[in-house]
Amino acid sequence: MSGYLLRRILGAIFVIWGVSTAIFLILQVAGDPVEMLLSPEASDADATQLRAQLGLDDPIPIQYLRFLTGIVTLDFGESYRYGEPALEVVLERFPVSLLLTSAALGLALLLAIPLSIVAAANQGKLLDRAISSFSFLGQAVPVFWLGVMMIIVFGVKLGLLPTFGAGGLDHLVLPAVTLSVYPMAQFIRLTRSELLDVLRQDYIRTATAKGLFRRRVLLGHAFSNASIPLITMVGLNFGILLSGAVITETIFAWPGVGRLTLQAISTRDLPVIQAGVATIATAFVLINLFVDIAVTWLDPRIRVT
Amino acid sequence: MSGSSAVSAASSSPASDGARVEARGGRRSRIPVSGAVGAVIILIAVLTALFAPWLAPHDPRLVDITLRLKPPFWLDGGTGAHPLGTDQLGRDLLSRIIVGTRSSLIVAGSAVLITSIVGGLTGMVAAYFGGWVDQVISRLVDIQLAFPSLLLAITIMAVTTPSLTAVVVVLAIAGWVVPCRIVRSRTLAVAGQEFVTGAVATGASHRHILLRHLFPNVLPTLITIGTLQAAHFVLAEAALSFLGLGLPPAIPSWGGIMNQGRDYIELAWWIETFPGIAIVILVSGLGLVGDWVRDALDPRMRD
Repeated sequence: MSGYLLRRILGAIFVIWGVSTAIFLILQVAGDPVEMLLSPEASDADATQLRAQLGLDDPIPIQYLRFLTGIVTLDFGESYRYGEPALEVVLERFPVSLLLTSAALGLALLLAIPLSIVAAANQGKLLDRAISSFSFLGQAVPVFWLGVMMIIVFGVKLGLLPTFGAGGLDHLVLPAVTLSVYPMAQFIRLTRSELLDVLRQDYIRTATAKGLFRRRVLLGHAFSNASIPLITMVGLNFGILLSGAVITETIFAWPGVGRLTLQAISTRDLPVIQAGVATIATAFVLINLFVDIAVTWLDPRIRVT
Repeated sequence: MSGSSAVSAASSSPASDGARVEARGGRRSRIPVSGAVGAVIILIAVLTALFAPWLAPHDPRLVDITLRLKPPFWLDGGTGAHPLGTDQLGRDLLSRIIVGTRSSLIVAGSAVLITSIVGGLTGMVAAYFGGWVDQVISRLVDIQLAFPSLLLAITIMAVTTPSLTAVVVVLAIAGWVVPCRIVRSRTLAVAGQEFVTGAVATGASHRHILLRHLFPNVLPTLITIGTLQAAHFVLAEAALSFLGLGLPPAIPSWGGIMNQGRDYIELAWWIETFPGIAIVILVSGLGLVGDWVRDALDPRMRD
């Protein structure tokens, strides 16, 4: 068990290193950020001076080493735009993103679990077909379109809910609902098919034959077994949501890491891009590491392999 | 594209349980209704893309400020000449959507072709040769799976001049790991079988074994992943273009139309609404066909 843990943790560190290196390489071909930072009147001498000041005139291996040391010491340099340490700028907004992502994920689970149980219990019937169709469509609808439709219907036409920025709980509704549809659809599809698989097993037949109520069989026996793949799926979706939030945050002007990273990209604020992407990728890796460990702990069968 | 998401992107249809039973019944099972619907959608989309210039009622790039923000024909002020209304520059929305079908299909089609070739080849090579080749490819896949693919695409697009080629290449870079990983595990399962050992024993070259013995066995898997990935690429291209990081504004695309109409959301809901419906229809069609192909060619993929 501890060998497995160690292997997984080393793997996670390796992956974070790989992702960071990839970001560094991508930004190397990004072009000169100095041109974006200086006013058009600035002279060549100004540009050279700024480049030296930011360390951009050093050879690439030196810059790479400095970048790696920065990651280990959690120092990505100062944001060109905000003048504060880039990681602070990112982490300041992290709770806001986390709130949106958790709300979306919670909503998705809250609806997906009962819907998939109802669908599996009524396999092939109208109710099941309706729920399955919803889950199919939910995966075909682009999240940005859904967001814009939400704004048009609930903001512009009905004037019911705020569509811009963060604030009270009412600000959270539209972005969270928008972001929750895709994972909800995935959870329904997965849990429904897991439930149907489990329901075909012998021990379910035994439980039913013993005279247990159908509800007890579904919830007690079937669902507890179907929940393990669901946990893995939730972990995967958490990371996907953090990056998918880039779009939702942009549409609803939600002041999170995703929107910040996108803005940093358009202003070539390299330290913030590096810190932002590294933060999202690290969160993704860590969440999945925890999920893997949790699943191993919950399901002794996996420990063997 | 992240992890299993591409494969599961649009991969559950209401009728797939029925299709699964049919597929077990015999090789030449009846085409399920959902699969037929999906196939018709794709056929219509392909025909629309091919004949776009003749189908479009107007020049999609024709600007006429006097006609700007006209609503669809059934609303006050709408005309039959512009059935879905016009955009902020007075361009015909229906014509732009029709021509936009081309962009979606060209981008998704080319990206799938590249990811299938690159992913299929690297997956087979990794499984067949094993050792350090497998180590290098598998670790690369691990790293990329930890990098949410949309974020990767956004980051690369942000530092590239927008063009059709750039979008295709970026989607391919973000997506090759999915076929690679699945083809690798499928090849591993096949490579140990007797007919491969037999081929090795008769002195067949690596190339011969890879192309003649292993490739036919992973082809069904590749076709299934390709169809499902196409749906994902249509969504990803639209998302990038919507963010202004995809196709350049000169090429009409569904996401691009929505990007340009965003500032007029309070005046003209139709500019945002109809391109999105086109996306949902095409992605659903690809998803339905993907499910059907999987059930018919490769039932094991369900797991």
